[in-house]
Amino acid sequence: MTEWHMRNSLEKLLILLLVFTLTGRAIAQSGKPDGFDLAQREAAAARPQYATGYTVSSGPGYILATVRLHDRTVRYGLIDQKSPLDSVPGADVIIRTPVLKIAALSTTYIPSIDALGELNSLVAIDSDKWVYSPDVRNAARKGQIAVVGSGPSVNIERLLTLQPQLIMTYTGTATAWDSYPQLKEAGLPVVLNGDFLENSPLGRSEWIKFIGLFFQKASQAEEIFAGIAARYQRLAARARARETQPEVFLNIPWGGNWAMPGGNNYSAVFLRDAGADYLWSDTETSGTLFLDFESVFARANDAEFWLNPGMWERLSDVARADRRFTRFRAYRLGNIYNNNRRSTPSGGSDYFESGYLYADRVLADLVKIFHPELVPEHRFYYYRRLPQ
Amino acid sequence: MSLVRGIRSTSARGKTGAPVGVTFAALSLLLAGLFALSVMLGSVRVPALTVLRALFTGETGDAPFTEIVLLFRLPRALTALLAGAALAVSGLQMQTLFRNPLAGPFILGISSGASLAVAVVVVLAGSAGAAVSGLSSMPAGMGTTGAAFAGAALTLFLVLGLAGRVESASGLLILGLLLGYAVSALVSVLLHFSAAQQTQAYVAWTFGTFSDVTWQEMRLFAPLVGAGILTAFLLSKPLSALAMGEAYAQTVGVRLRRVRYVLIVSTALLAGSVTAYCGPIAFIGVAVPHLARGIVSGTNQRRLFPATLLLGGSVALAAEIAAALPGSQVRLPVNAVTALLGTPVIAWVILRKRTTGPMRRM
Repeated sequence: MTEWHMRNSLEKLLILLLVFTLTGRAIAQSGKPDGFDLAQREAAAARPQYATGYTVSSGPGYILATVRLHDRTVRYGLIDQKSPLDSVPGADVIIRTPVLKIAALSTTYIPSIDALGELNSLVAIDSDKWVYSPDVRNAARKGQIAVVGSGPSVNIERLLTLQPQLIMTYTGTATAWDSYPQLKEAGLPVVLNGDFLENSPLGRSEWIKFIGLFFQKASQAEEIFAGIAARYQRLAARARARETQPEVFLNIPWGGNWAMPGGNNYSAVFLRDAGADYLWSDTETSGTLFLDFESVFARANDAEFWLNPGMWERLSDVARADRRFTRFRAYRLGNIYNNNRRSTPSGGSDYFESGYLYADRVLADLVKIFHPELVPEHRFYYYRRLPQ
Repeated sequence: MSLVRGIRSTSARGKTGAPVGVTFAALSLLLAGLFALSVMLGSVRVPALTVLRALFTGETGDAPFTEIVLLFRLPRALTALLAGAALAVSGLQMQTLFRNPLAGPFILGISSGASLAVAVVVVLAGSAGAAVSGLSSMPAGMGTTGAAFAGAALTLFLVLGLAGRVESASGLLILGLLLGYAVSALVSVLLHFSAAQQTQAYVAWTFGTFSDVTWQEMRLFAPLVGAGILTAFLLSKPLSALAMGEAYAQTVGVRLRRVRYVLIVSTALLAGSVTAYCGPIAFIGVAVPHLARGIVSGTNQRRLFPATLLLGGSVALAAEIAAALPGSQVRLPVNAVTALLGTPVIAWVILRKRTTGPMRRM
């Protein structure tokens, strides 16, 4: 065992030395800014402040990005296309950067790819049903972007022929529902993204830096994110300082159960930062509570605001679904707001797409709901008040 | 409409120890007690006195409590009672018609038809603008009730059409089963091509719930169940004869085909409306008639019928109380509770009375 270890590390050392000399020579020959610096700069730019699902480090000529998703940890070694390096110490998967062809198997990656000016690199998505971005929908309709499906029924053959240099996807706790095992099995360059597990809006938004790494655009991503974070924090500080924090609750019941985000859920963080008193903020979980209608009514019947009520379009939908909903004070005040202002007939919702990246814009909408005097200039982007 | 021509009472005197009157008084008391308990208990703690004040004066001075009792608990308890009674009675009917202890209200594919329609609606609704979030939510009951009704009705007409062509009850039974299989296959195909959130919405519906029925919906639900139960009651005489075998029933003047038609309609009415408003509630329809046979033995439908009715309501109410996990904010799926709590009880009854019900004759 130990002997093997020693030999292994000796080998690594030798490889490293070899790499040093080789890359050194390559740089000396080309005379361009060296790959060492680029990797370091990129890694530094991508290092997360809010996101907890990934970490970034760098070594000579390479970047090591580690993603933690549920109980799975995967290390991605990023090497420049032209670099003579062919391995990264500790990496499970090697990705050559910048990638020119990417498959995005979740709509939440689209806004980041778009913001980085890389929509032309997008060659495949999981489904065009759930996409909001008109550009991506058009390209999918024209066949410029392939639709490959998701989950266990993902179209491996199509992906193999498309030859993307990167397939970004996610996994759940039960991998039987994921496409990840199939993609890995097929030897495709698949990278996991854990944006949806972040418990803070800025944490989710910050994954643009992770995505940027693969285009060698982490610095640009950092610039975009820094703007979002600064605007978010400035507004949140003002909203949280308001004396009155109106009471609010979320969602609607289904099959007798009312799914209410826990107090540490990112929806709860959004509401707190928007200067509202979320009625379940005292619960510990970052997941979702499944509550009895009666207990929600007991706590929320007097609340001033009601947000994200399923797919309701107008107040009459509320009354028609269940007369008891009209007993909520928020209904009588007409204070029901839904985040479906920007959505497509097939089910695409920009709130769950660009809202993932532009947390500042979502927050501005929320602040306009609870404290309109703070954002007199802002016009609703994702949200709207249900009309009569 | 006379279903029986000059039939004499086929009373098979029960072998119960307790006088019939006492048994029924006890069963009624049990039902009333469970109903009261169901209104008293819930995820929110409401003082018993407040509950009583809300029930009898309609006002408690404690705003959310009044509404919780009158708008949530009372319709929920009533729904459980009606649904339980309806399922148990239609289960008894099917077991008698098919002379099969495993038959239940859904044996003719009624709930499968409803499920298919709900799956279609859930998938369509999802693509018509449902959220993509993990907390995908559809307005409670919107669309699913109507869909379930339509699905159950369509299945009913199909079964009725078949019933006209098939002579034997067992042939009809097999056709009903086949229909169920075909429909389940369609549902799986549909769900296979839908998003995980839609699958979730469908699964949530299959869990079953008694708490989605409001007073407004009760105005349709209660009369439908009432009509179904009344029809079932009128059928209990010819059913008693049927329980002795089709040949015997014919000799005492039961119009087999006609009885079968009416039976199917009343079962569809009962099972269909329960499925539409509460989801496919399993177990009660199959198990409660056995429980009833354990308590009032014999095949006399006129005794078995009220016992099944009362017990069905009681079992559903007990399941509802347990599902609400009094004192906690969460709620279990009704379907899980009925099976978990009911299985040992029924098993005990069957083991205790080895020669119970139709099994003796099978």
